Amino acid sequence: MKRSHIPTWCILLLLGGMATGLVFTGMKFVQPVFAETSPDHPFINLMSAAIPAEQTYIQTANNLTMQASRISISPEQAGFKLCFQTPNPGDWLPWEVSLVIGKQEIPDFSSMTLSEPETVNGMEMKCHLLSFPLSGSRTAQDMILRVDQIAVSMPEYPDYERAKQQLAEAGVAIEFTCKHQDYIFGCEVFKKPADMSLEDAEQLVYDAIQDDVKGPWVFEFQP
Amino acid sequence: MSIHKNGIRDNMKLTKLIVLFPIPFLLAILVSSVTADPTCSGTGCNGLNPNSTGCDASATTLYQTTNNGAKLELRKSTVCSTYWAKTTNVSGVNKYANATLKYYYYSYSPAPIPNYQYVYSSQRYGTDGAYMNACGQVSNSIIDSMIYSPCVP
Repeated sequence: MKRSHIPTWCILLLLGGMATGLVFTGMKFVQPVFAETSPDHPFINLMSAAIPAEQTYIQTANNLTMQASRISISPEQAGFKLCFQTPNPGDWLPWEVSLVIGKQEIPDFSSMTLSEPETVNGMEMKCHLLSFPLSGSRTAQDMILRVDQIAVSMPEYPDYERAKQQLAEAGVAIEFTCKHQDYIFGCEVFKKPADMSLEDAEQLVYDAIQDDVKGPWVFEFQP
Repeated sequence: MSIHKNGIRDNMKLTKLIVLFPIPFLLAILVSSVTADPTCSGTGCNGLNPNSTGCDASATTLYQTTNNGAKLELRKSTVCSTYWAKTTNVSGVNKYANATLKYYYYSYSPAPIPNYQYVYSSQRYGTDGAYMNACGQVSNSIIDSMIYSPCVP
């Protein structure tokens, strides 16, 4: 019987070395898995009261397709299911959204991220439930849902040096500094072009920091 | 003679083994330093800063709402299974801000913060996110206590 070139005790010693190394460095063999269970929330009512998904509306802007469906109206709120393609795997959210109902614009909205991506017309999309608060009784009226911007949520401590570089490369003469301290993050513009308002300068800074795509995606609904 | 040769060979093997033994150990150190693991886990993360613990590296926003110049978010760390609240001033003017993870933790700005600045709370471990609500406000006066409205979800 042919003997192995490497004695068994050598193999055991090597394996022991690896195990000791991994233990000392605190390496985890299994990452914790989080159960994606949705907690109770007001959107539950919206979900159950939503109109079945036969009627869908599709818009494309900036090469990203967005779909609105499951439109629901109650005296308290208007609800939509919004799905869209994303440029990368980040937690893309509807960021700037408004609803015009009748002649009134409602800029405040709430959204809930649905955990699983969906395939719509062969495209993988990330989906959210949107709701807009309504006041007073509503009759059926024309509505316009306007999504001006989708964005990845802002990290607690974002990489603002990269944003400085981006603005400089784009020839934007804005100088700013950012501070992260005691659970607060923010940036302050200290130099900007004379013909630019401070609000516009701040907007440019945060746009550069945040990963976003601007639309608009506009959906018109008629009763 | 052959015994002597075998002895030399065994010695060489032993030397190689001694040299090779630390390699897996060093590799493990390298792998662990590349993957920045959070510095806390489970309930050990309760009350700690999601950024300084590294839990925010895998953060996503589960719920958000805008209300009276404040954008509120309920944030979740997928790696740490923790939740926290975040409030962004989107009022267009300097305001005091408060971010409360309902019943657990709150943070507030001791001075008005400019537009787009944000404040976030400490984190809380939860297995499924039940009973986690992010509440927040921006205001012209300081909000140095836990608040209960408005909230998401």
